[in-house]
Amino acid sequence: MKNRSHFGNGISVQPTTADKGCGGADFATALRLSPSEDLKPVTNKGPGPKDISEIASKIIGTAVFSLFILFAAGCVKEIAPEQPVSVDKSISPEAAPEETPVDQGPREEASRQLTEQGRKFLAAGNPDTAIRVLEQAISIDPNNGQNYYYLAEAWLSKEIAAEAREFNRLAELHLKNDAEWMIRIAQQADRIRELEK
Amino acid sequence: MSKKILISLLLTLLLVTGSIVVYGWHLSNGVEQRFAARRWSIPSRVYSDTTLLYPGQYINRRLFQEKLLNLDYRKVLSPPTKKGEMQINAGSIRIFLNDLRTPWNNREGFPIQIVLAEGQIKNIKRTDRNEALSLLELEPEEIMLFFGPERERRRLVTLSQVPAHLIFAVLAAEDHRFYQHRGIDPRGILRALMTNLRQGSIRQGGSTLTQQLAKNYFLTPDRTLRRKLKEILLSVAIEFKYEKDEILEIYLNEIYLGQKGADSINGVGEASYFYFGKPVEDLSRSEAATIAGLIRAPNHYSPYQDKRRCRARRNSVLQAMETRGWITETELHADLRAPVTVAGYMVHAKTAPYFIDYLSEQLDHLYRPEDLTSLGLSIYTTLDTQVQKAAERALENGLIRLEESNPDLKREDPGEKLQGAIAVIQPKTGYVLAMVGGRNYSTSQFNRITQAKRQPGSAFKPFVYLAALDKFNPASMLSNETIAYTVEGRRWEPKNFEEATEPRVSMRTALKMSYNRATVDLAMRTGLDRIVAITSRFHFSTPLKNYPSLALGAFEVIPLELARAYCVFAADGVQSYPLSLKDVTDEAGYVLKQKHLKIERLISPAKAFIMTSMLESVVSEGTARSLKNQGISWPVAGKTGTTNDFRDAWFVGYTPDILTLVWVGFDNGDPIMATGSSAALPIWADLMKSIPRYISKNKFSQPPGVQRQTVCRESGMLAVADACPERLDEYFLEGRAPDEFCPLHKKSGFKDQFIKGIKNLFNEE
Repeated sequence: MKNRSHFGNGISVQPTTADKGCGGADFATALRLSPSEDLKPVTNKGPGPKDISEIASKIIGTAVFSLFILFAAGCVKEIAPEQPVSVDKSISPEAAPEETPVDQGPREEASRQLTEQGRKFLAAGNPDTAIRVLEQAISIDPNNGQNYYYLAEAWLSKEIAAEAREFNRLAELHLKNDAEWMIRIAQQADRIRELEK
Repeated sequence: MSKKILISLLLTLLLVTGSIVVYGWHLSNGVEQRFAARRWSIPSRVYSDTTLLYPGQYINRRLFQEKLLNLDYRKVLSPPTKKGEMQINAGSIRIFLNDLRTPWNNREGFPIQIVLAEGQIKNIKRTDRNEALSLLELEPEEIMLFFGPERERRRLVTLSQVPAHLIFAVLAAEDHRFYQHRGIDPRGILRALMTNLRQGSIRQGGSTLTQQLAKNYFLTPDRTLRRKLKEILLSVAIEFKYEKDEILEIYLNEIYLGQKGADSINGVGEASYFYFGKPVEDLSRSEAATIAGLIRAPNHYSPYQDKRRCRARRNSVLQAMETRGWITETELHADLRAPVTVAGYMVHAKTAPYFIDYLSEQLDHLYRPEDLTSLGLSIYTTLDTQVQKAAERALENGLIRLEESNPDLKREDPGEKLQGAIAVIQPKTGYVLAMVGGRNYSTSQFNRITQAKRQPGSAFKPFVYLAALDKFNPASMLSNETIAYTVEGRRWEPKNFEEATEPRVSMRTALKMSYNRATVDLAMRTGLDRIVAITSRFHFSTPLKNYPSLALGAFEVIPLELARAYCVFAADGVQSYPLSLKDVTDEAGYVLKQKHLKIERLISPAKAFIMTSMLESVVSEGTARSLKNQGISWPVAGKTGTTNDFRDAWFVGYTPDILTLVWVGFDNGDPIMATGSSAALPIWADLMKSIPRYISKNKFSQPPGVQRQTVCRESGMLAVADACPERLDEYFLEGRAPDEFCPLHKKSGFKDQFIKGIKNLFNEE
């Protein structure tokens, strides 16, 4: 998962801090109704009482409604496995790059294919070719954290800890929202530390 | 007396025989030297990178089609049926791919169809299996050969690789008793003699294959009797030293078979590619006969010169093969009817000469020049020929535009003309995609990307700001007022480019508008030693001095190193080694050397992001904001650079995928009377717009360690709601956001709020 929530109905919300996921605790961030307002410091003396109650009731009403929508949509995302959003590129190719979700566009798909090839070379005991192919994968999609993970694996198998460590960190940077991968990255970091001894 | 005559005759005979034997022995030693071990100079070949294609990719159709032509794909009118053919239609391109042979990918060629619309690849299909492809790798272009002085192109083959029908064809055409004679063929000579006598001129050479080899050995084409005798002796010597098969193999690799521009085509391995675009193993019978027929006079019988003559010669070879019983009558009749179809070729202009020079410097550390010209190595690089072409064109057009708009910039002497340089790097891999070291390589081979030392001017400022990030943040206020500094006893007063500027500006504003005074203020408060310490991590090879003018880039850098340094911002704080050489393999494809992506973390991802964010402001609102009007609407971070007296104009700009540095100036330091944004920026824009495959339009992704807060524009401190008139969201290193509220603006009391509320009511009506 990247720094972007994507809901099945095509709405895209971009929080400016790390994505907290479906129906997560920090819905104020997800709401983003008015950036400056919801970050205002708590210590305010308060404007006139009339304005407050009107504004407050408006806010609360909108908030509750929006929360409901977001919860529903967000949870739908989790229940239904993610389908690639089929943006018909033949109709509006210019719009395609923004509409296509980051995870699932053809660029990412092409990169993934190379990641898989790289992984296979690694499994076959051929780290040098794996590295070459993973470099290609990075050139197509530099945000794919798995590429860095497998690069770290390749350098580990060549017993060069310095490079492995750097790539492991890059993997961590890009896969920070994926719990499963974070576990693997942490385990890889342990193995790198072992090698450094 | 007769006894004496007899003895002297015998002695003479002995002497003559003796000298002949000695001479023959001497010659045969020379043969050993020449033909043993390293027999030929096989030039090493340099290749560009492969090209990756996938559906949804934006492409520049013109550049793509040029690439296909450079890969020697030839246009056909109907769907391609053979490797190396392509059919170009309005909405699609059909290609029968050539084989791909690189150290990391080996695949046979197959037919594909690429559907294109509106500058984008819609889909790629493998047409023989009706299979959609999500990724396709196109073979690399040969961009350079390292020749010895003879400029011989050659691809070595072993006898086992050569198909039987080619051997038969060669024997039928040149020496059908090769396996029977002992170097010279008396019957052949006799027949030739008879023919020559009958014709009244030398029509037939009567030379065996061995004699032809011997003739080649001497290199100079004398036709004296003495030379003929030497050849005969040498032929006998060769037959003595080598087996028939060995001799044949040498012959097939040695023989001259045509001309490609200034380069000669030698050996059947090279000839089969040159004429038919395929390896020798794949030659058909009629193609083999064509090549064998060329031996007699390659340029006279060349299919590129005269197809009819070529065909006639081919057919006579085929006839000879049938006469010998080496092909059947049926086969003969089929082959006689076959047309002569050739691959075609292009003699290319020099590709990426500055890049090649840069590459050569690295190869020099690995291989001696004689190795490069003789070992037949394959050298795989990172060059993207499409980007290279686009860069060369953008530079030339941009410089011409500048000269047109300001005739004072024109120069008569080509060596003194306005110059420029471009480097294109992928920040996350360090791959050098393109390098243009100057406007015209034939006029000046000086590589302004790797050899020039120029002042970066304000293009250096980001490094000052980076060094300041530990103490300051993008909202920190800096003094933009006139301050005089004393440097080594002398007074120095930095000036801003535009005079009418605010007295206090934020760090972000100072960088985006490139205010000199505010930058110097920042530098002095950060500490010049600190700036030098941080910047020296970035691998600048030129010295940095801790003078205040350091902040304004008043020292020299090598442009490639500046580009490399900016890559750190583009790659989450990591610096990659700039890679131009990827792999080196020997003739057999065995990998000798591999260079990989090597990275070093210089700064945290959070700092890199904040720098990038400020550099995005340069493009969205600052000195590079005219990019918007040049068709660039996607996220770009960058910095313009202009030096004192307008001697250098720079723009270094990047996206998450690609970084390009552009420099413009005169070699002799004459002022160009233009800024980074007016001289270098348009060239950058031109180039980036012509390489859509590298433009993902993605935003720069925010890493952990960065937080966003609302601050007051005037004070740079936490904004007070309903009090601070101008508020903005700013990025900070986590934990470094200001924790105090703006002291300049106070919240109004209850009474004021009430009056304000009433006023608002009336205003709404």
